Amino acid sequence: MLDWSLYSSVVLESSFVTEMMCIDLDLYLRQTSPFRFVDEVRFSEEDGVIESSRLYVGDEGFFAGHFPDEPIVPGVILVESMAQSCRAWLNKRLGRKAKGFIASIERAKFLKPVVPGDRVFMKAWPIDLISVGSDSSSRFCRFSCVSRCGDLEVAKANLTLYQIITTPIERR
Amino acid sequence: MQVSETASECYIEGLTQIVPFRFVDRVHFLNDSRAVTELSARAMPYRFVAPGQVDTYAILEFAAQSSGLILRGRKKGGGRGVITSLTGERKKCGEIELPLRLESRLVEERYSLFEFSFQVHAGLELVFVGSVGIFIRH
Repeated sequence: MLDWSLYSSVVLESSFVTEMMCIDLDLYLRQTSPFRFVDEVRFSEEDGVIESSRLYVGDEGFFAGHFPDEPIVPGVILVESMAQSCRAWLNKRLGRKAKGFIASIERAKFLKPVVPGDRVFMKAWPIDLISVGSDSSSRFCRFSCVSRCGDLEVAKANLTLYQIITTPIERR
Repeated sequence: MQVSETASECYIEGLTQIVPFRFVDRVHFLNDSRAVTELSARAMPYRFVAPGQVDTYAILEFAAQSSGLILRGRKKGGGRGVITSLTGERKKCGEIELPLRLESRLVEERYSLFEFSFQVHAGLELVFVGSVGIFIRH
């Protein structure tokens, strides 16, 4: 069980440098700006944890509509951001930038508003990897995800991602 | 009650979310416990969605905004609805295409916290089901 109190931004950045492997998002994530809601994704082979972050600078298009007088990051964007972090990890594991989507969202909770200037740190753990056989043409994976801003949890959810593989996987 | 095109535009104009983050294009039915709405292809580029297909986040926001319409009477006096919880399950493995028709029902009410159950159809096909919790912040 990870001790969340250790994950101040300083410690998190430090763990990025010393223990985590970086994922090339251009190589493993189909979403590009303005629909990419993650800045960096790293993972640990050892304990299976995926860490990522996203700084909401304030010029993102959705702030204009949500809401004009009080910009707040929409909860669904926080979910998408967590999903993109997990998708990058899953695609790296699959060895390709596979097409896919969120198959299910369980127990998503939004605990505190995220506003322009906030940097959100996400952690996720794969909890079920389904249909991993090399002859399978698709991949499901279920993740437990938590997003924090400073010391506060802002969102959490269990997400199941579905990645479509149409040709044999090239293992990396 | 069934909603005319003019009344539909009025309801949509009353949403606190505005373009480019507005995800309801037509209100077909609305009362204090049920809404039937439509998301069509209009202005989709401004919603960050590739033409002809819909991402899960757009469906979830469509559900949240449609459910929020049911609460319009309870928000009078400056209240604003914020999402507190979500669940959802995609029922179609292939791409989901517009237009989508959504039905949301109020299933639970506790103080300022409201729980809705929703289902989304593309044509006759059920493509997504879920629930959304909305808190009215005054």
